[in-house]
Amino acid sequence: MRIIFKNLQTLWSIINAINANVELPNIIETAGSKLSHLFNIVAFSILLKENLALYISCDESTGQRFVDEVVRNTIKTLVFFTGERLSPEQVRTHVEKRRFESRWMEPSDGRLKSHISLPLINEGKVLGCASLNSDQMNAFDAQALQFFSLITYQMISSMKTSQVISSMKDMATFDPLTQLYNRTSLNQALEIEFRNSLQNRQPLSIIMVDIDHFKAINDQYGHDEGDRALIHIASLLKGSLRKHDIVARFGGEEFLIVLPKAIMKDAVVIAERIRKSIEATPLSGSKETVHLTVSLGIASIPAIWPESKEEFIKCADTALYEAKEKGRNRVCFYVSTTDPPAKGIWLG
Amino acid sequence: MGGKKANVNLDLIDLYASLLNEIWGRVSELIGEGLLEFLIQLTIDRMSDRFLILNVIRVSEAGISLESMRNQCQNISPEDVHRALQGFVKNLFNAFTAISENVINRELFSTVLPKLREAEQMISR
Repeated sequence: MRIIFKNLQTLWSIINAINANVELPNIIETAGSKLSHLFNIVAFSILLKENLALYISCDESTGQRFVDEVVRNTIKTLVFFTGERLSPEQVRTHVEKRRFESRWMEPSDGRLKSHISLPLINEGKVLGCASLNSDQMNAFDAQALQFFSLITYQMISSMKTSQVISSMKDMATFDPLTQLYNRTSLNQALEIEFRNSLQNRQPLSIIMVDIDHFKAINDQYGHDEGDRALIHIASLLKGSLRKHDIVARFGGEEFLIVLPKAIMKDAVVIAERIRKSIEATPLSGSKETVHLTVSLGIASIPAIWPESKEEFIKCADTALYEAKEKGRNRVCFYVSTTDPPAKGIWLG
Repeated sequence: MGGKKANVNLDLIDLYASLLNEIWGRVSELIGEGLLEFLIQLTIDRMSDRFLILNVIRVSEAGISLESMRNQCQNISPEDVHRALQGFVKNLFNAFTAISENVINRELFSTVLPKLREAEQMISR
């Protein structure tokens, strides 16, 4: 009776811990660290169908052979329930070894001897599967199955919450058409970079990008083709930037790129790369190929000394206007004759 | 089909309905109604190409029902009804094996085996 009560307490603590987390890695870590108190396991694994990620939390003594067997077995279970082909090469495996405090140390040859693998089901769809894996024969009984079922139901519930929060975050952060940052998140990111630039005396450049003759594309080919042009340009912009650069849809056919630690010269190189890439990559339409070009305006700290991020953006917009005036498909940068020179030492 | 064969079909269906209800009662305690419903529906989907009659099995979180099968088995021989339902139970056991090796099956053998034998005797009479 005392053992059953202790097990129920442990089960309750696992369910509470899972319930307290909304981020999937935390859910897995929490479960992995506590499950060995309840089950005679060497590893806990969870395979997600959506991104084909397999997380394995196992005892520090676990050998590679056991891990390989867990990988194969977890995949086999998912294949059983989905009927879709899947090989270990297609799966990204993350193994985390830790000391399983309550590991029941019976002699073992380090092979996978028994498992429970439950599919994670939400509204009739298979999200993945979760497994308990042991190096002992008949390590699990009916009560273990019952407890693990309760735990997986709680995991599914937490994953659903996690997905809702994540999609809400996405909706608030990204432009739904281009999947670039939207203007709200751009403002937040630029505010941080702008302050950082001034406080740490580091350069910062921005590039305002506008698609040339976009109205004519909409008029001639229709709004669907216009949308495809925006997605096409967004993809080329993402592909032309450095890892820490930020690109956002600023509105309509305008995009804004934030280049942390980039001086004017760096920004010009990047802007030219973007311009050439777009000019060289026409949009293959359903009816005919559409050749696109863009105009770009650059503003750079410390070449100028804006008092706010709004003024900084205005400078890039002025340079963009100049690029349009000079015939489009070109890069212009903002030079102020009135700004005082930047003081102090600028890094970068 | 003659009245005798039709009666055998109804007896067979009653027998399997009682067997599946026992399986439902025991297994839902272990893995919950939601997962069990999924496993049963998966088994129906995978087998109904071979045995069309299995399409009329109804499953929900409330349980499993063979009620519609009683009305739709007039033109099927008892051997075929038995083969379809026996195959269904066998495949359901495969699904249980996939998730728990022999944990569930061990719990069920004592219930299932006598009823499967009884079904075979009905056919051979």
